[in-house]
Amino acid sequence: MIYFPPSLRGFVNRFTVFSTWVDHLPFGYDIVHAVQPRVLVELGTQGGMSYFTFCQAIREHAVPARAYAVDTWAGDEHTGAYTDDVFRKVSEYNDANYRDFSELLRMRFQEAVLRFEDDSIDLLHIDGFHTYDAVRNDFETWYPKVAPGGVVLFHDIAARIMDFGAWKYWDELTRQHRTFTFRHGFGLGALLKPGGPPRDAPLLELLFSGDAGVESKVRALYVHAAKHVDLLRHRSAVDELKERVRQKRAAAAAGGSPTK
Amino acid sequence: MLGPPAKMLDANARRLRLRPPFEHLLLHVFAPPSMRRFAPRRPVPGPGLRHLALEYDLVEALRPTLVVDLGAGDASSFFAYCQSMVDHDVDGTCYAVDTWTTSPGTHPEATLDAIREHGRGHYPGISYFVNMQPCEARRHFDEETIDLLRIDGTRSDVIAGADVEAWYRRVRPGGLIAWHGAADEPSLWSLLAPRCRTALFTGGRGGLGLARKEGPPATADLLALLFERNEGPDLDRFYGHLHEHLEFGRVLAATLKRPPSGPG
Repeated sequence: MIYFPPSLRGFVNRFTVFSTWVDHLPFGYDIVHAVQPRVLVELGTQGGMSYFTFCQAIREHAVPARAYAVDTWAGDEHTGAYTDDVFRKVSEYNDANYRDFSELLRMRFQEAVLRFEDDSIDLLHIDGFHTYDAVRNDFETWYPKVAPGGVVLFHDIAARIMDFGAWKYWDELTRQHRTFTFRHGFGLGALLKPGGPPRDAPLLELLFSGDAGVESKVRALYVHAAKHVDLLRHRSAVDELKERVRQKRAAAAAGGSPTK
Repeated sequence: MLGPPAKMLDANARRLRLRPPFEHLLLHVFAPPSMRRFAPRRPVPGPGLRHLALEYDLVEALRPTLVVDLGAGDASSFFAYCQSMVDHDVDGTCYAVDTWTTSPGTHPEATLDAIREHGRGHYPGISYFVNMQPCEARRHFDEETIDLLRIDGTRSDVIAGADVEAWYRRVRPGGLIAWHGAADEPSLWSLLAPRCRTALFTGGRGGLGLARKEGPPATADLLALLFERNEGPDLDRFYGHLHEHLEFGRVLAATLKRPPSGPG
């Protein structure tokens, strides 16, 4: 059997904001399908690019999940402070599309963690403040909440900018846990917590095979998938533009005025 | 090379506590060269584009010394072979055989002059153009010397003069025949199928049949998947996707370059 991921079967992300997560959208979509989380938590949602891709996957794969986005939506030293407009847009989009299973927790991570039982989160995405200490603290605080067999994602593990230290902590984790590393899109790490029930999940098998040849091909496959989704997004944008031009010209022709 | 052996995947499945019946013990992740780096340098719109990614990868997998294209036409497949030869440092020669008769509807890139110019510009020393019928060209190739033989089986003039049996003898053991239109001409395809390991790809004009002449076991990833592990249907789906990807890119690039069209 040749692995043909769900994201290559017509996935186009429905929600787009500027984000370096853009290169991981197909994987984000597929990991939800693979893990089939009962509970998904994202730490650091900002504009919602990754979170709403997870939500889209939950919806389109009919995963019986509860999803939680945790953020103060106030910004930090890395993102800079941002206006309440960011939260308003995320909140409106969430209410309009995913309110039946998705909840925004506007609070600090250490406050939110109290709401979750140990071993309860199947998919955790850590994308908060990116210093070494902050990432380490996030992982150590939240890891007990992750269910056996659950997966933890770390973004920006390849970013060597400002005082980012996610790369350094991730490097340590790879020596202690079963992990997979994407290098594109500022890097995305996936960590498997041992244990849990048996899974029928080809993607997880590939990610954590421990075989360097397989890992290299998985990386190449998802670089391609990101390009493909980008291509579809551009095509949609061009099609929309062409349609608007067509309508404008048709309206101008009907009104007898010259087109521009 | 192939992925990890089944035994290793079996152990891995146990570690991951995967659910029986472990169907994906034979799971394979496929990341061919065409997915990583291929964009046709000279895409001529038409059904010939459908299998370009696969044809590009066949050259990388087979590393042919001698390629012959019977009924090269607009040379879409031919130049995919040449491009792959260059991209993968394959030390070989490709011959395009055709009479390149033109008609008012012939694409400007599909004339012999345009094809020759492209070949000279991009593939000197690799690409040669044999302006004659396949039956005439046959005497220029010895038996069991061709590594990759493409036949445009959608063209009656090519088939009529090709003499499939005689060309089959010119393919070396372990060599490949790529037969465009195999799905539409089962009687001719059936001449090859009983003697070769075969795979059939859908789409394009009449599909693309691949026949591997008996020879040493295939070791290259793509060839092993095709002819040792019978993954043809999954590969067909994968290459259908790659074709769609290339087409989106081609059409988008053309749209962005094109000046605004008139009303409507």
